[in-house]
Amino acid sequence: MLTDYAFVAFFIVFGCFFVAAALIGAWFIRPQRPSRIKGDIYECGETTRGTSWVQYNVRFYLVALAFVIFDVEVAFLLPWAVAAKRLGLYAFVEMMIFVGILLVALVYAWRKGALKWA
Amino acid sequence: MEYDWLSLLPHLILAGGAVVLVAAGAASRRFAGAVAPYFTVAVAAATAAAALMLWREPASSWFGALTVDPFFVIFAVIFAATLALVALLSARYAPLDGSDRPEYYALLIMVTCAVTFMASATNLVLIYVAIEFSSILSYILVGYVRGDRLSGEAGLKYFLYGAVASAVMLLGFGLLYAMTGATDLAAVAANLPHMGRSFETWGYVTVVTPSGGAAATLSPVFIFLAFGLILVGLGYKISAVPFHMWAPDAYQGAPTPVAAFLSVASKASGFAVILRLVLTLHGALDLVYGGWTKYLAALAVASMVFGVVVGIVQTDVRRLLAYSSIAHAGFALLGIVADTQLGFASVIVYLVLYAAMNIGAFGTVAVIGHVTGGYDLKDYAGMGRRHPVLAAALAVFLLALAGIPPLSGFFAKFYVLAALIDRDYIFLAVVAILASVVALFLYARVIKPMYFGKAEGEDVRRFSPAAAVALVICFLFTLLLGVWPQLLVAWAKAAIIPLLPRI
Repeated sequence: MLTDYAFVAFFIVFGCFFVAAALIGAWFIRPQRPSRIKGDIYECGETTRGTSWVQYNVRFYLVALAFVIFDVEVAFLLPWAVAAKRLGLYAFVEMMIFVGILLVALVYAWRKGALKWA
Repeated sequence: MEYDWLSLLPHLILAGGAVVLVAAGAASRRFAGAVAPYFTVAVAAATAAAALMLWREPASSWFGALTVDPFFVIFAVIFAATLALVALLSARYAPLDGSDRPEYYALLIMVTCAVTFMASATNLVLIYVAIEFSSILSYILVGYVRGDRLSGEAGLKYFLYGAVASAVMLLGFGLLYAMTGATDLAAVAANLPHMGRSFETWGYVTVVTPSGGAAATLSPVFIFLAFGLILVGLGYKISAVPFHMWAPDAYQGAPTPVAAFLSVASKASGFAVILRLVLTLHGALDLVYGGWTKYLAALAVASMVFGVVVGIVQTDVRRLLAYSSIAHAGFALLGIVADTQLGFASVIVYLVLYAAMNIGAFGTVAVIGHVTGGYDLKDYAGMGRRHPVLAAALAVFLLALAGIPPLSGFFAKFYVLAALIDRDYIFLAVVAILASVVALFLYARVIKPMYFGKAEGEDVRRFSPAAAVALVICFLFTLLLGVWPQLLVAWAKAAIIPLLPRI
């Protein structure tokens, strides 16, 4: 039993050592020439403008959420559609219930104005 | 294949009720907002009725993923009752003004649906999904008070804590799956090594795969690790020390009826999962170094001692009750530590009795907060003269939580202690009794200013009749079940016996 604990202890010690050695080793070996461009926020090669701490419009999140829901819906619909003939009426009813619940959600989001942009 | 839809009725009623309420909220906000609390009570009543109908039915299993048995029925009834009481308490609750009402009740019904799934799930994946389902809805409900910084902060804190805990627990489930290649609890139990199977000197266990094929070797370290990681997630759910940090902040920031729900239904659902795991995987648990009960006992003792000691210095009544609920989680865990039929049954008895008195306590705090606008111990000064009925009710609920004999809390503690003493765990029993004594002081800190303090301040609102009905129901249960607990004990035993490991 104790030997198992020894393994765990060994892994913990080795893990700490490995991370520390990698970081400290790199610190000694690497050239250190900091410049302003290197300190910039990475933005796909574009020249950066402003800081990264900007506030996004909250509508982005609402649209993204609505998108994810229907994205996932398709992920369920597609395999069902492929095998719809074999699965028969039972699966059809089940899928309609699923789509129906999502429809309620869509109507709800619509009424709450989550789909309006202006 | 024949589907036993009737056995799924409690889940379906809750899920359907939530969808209907959301749709109604989209159609007519004013109408839905006015009807929502009573609609929620109706849904809860239908759920409880549907669950009770299944009491005498043989246990039915949905592909091994969901098991509907008497154990589930008892928990479903606890959850449904909690839902109804919390809905009544929320009906006019002032801090919720300005937030969307129909959605609030829809979320309440959904979170109840989630916890009923937790009580019936017997598949690792479904257990995890149900826990996540209930957690995510709880985060939203905790942060539901619009424009309140404390509520938002509480929701965020609860979310961050819960996300980490559930990730850790998922790793534990993953390890179980890696060891057994199964996610159904019954299959996991069959594939996991058991105490008494070939057990080699190296500390490795031979595992025979279900097909009887290639035997793999497996170190008990992984079993230890898997159960340890799972305990983190479930310990968070029942808010046992050291996974309790979120509870005081969440209970303080949340709308107080939601805090009542979290401290009762959420906690009970965590216990339901723990009980199912312990009872199904009992053989493998015996492989945990030094006996698995020791770890739970450590958790229980830490929760009880920490809960009451830290609770004493709190000045916000909601925080004080949060620490008390941490201590109660520890006490109930002791029933599982006893590891006997009486012990497991005593946990269920404890949860039922605790539900009535704790919803009562949180409910009275919510009503007092609604009427006077204060949640601080200072605001309770002279409550005995300002609102004699409310003060008396709160005193009764707190004394019940402390375990004073004619009230239900006494029997809750009595059965757990009986189970402990039955197993000769005298030390644990003594610690539990000492913690209860200190807890009495904790509750006295609320009762004393109510009767010996000077009344100050004016009422801001009148309390709603709906909340009064909820409090009366809790009061009756606290009183009656204290005098007459035998029936409940018989039910709890009947629910536990079919699940007991046959060894």
